Amino acid sequence: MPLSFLLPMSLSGATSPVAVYVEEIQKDSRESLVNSAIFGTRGILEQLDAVYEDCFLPGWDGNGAKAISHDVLRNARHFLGSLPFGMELPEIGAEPDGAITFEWYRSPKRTLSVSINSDGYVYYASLTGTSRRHGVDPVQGGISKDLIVLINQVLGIRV
Amino acid sequence: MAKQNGVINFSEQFPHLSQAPIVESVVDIRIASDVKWDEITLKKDLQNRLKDYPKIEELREFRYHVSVASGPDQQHKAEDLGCVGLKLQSEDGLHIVQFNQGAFVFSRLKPYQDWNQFTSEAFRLWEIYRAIFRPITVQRLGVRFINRIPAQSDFSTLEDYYKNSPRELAELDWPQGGFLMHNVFQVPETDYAVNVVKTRVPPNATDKEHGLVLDIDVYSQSSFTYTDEDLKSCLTKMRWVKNKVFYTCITDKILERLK
Repeated sequence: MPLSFLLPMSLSGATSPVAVYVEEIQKDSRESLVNSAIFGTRGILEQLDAVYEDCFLPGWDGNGAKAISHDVLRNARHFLGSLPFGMELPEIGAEPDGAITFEWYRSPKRTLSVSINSDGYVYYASLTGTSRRHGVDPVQGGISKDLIVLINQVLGIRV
Repeated sequence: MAKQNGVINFSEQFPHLSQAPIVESVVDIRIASDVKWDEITLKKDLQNRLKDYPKIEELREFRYHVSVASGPDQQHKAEDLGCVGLKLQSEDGLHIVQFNQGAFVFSRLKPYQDWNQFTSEAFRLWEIYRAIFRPITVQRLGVRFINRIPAQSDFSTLEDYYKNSPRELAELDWPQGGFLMHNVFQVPETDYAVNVVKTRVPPNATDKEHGLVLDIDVYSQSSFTYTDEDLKSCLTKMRWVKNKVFYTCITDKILERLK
């Protein structure tokens, strides 16, 4: 099995005491990775918060931009939380329409952009050489296998 | 959406366990919908429709800030990001359903009765969720069974319980203080994957001895335009996969105790 083969690890929801215990120890275990320098997403979550703090009021760009809402922030956090461990993290940006964007960029012809807004969908578009792909996934489903494959293609990782 | 059966072979039967260690069984359906979320209207609607689920709780999401200053100047702030779901519980506490933004989750707590009872109730509630949120597509479908196997006084190692147990450091004779093992497997020739989580849980109010968890979550993340027949067919296949994984994971020794 290639080491780059990754499947989403998110679990179906559950509520019993045993499920809560499993979730807590998984969270503790995940936290230690999230806080690590090499695998961590702590830094990018802080960047995301900083973008939100800069853009949560209407007109944040001085030109009538729409505010980034709680829903957008929540969806963006959920998306980041579903990225497989160790995956290269994207650059974050905000758009005048109130969306948050994540971008994986290697060159003008190898790039993938993800846009997240309040409607609960992840919109993505990629360019790898002459190959263009785009798609829509719900945030709730976690990151899709299709999107993981596209990100790996842009990053030049063979699966 | 997993039209093919792949390795799934319904002719293979599994033994019945009179002491099945299931503590929770779950159906989790995540959807895409254009219906606007309105928890106030939803709450009233569900209170009318689900009188047999009288306990209702809002699920809210928060963002926490802690200022970097130490001592009395340090500030903690919780920002409420809003209601993300409603959780309802039956009078006897055995059934729990979550009407979440983008996700329907139904749980049956122990004692587990049988698959027909479990899925009948799940589908009764799913029909209500479907009528309210009018899903365009199903984005993720999952069946999760959480097993808590009671520690046996005459079993001394994890190998007595799990066939593929988390290993100790064989070269070091040090006692294992705990473990958490989470594997994800792709089911060949299907769109299904399986989370398998193994860990140890301490005693609690109802279970007086330690337990070993075998948490099996079969899921598909392939988006599909559903029909109820599709969903039922997928759940039946997922149940088979769940059983196959369960009986592959436990030892004959523990199987005998659970029969």
